[in-house]
Amino acid sequence: MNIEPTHHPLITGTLLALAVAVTILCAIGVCVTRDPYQRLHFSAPVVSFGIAFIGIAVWIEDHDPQARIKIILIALVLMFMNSILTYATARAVRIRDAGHWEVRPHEPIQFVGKAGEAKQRQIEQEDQA
Amino acid sequence: MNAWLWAAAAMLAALIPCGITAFRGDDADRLIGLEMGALVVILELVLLTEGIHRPSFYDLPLTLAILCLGGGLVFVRFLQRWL
Repeated sequence: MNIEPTHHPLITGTLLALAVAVTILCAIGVCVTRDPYQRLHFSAPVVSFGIAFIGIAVWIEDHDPQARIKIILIALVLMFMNSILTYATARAVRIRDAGHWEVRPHEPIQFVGKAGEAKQRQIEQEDQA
Repeated sequence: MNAWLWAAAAMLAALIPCGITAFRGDDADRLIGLEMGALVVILELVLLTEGIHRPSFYDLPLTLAILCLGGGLVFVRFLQRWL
C-alpha cells in the first residue's frame, strides 16, 4: 500500500519547534535546579507537551497507519513510564536521605495548604501539651 | 534535510544539560539526569524515524521506552537499597 504523505510545513514546523523548545528548556531546568525533588518535575512537560506536539505532527504529516498507531503507543508508554519512574525515584531519594518513607512526628517538613497548616497546628498543640 | 531532521539535530542540544547533570552531583542527581537523557533519546529516535520515512523504525523508540522503565526501576532499587 503506497500512502503519500501530505505536506503542511508551517503547522508541522511549528509543532516540532515547540516540542524541541519544551525539551531543551526542561533539560536546562534539570541541570540548573539544586534539589533532586525539583529536578524530577522537569520530565513531565517532555512526556506530556513534547510527545503530544510530535504526535500531532506525525498525524498531520504521515498517513501511514503504522506510524500513527506506534506514535500513540510510544506516547502512552512514555506517560505510563514517566509517572512510575518519577514516583519510584522520589521514593528512593527520600528513603536514602531520611531512612524511611513515611512522615514522622517532629520531622522538619514544611506543610503546605490548608490541610497542611491544620496538621502543623495539631503538631504544635501536641508539643505544647 | 527536512523539518524532522532539523528538529532531531536541534533536539541533540537537550542532551548536553542531561549529560552535565549525569556527570556531576550525587547519585540521585545523576540518576535523574540519566532518566531525562533517556526521554530525550526516545524523542530523538521518533524524529529521526519520521525524518527518514521508515515507519517500521518506530519499533526502536517504542522498545527503548519500554526498556527504560525496567532499567530505570533497577537503578532506583539500587539507589534506594545499596548506593
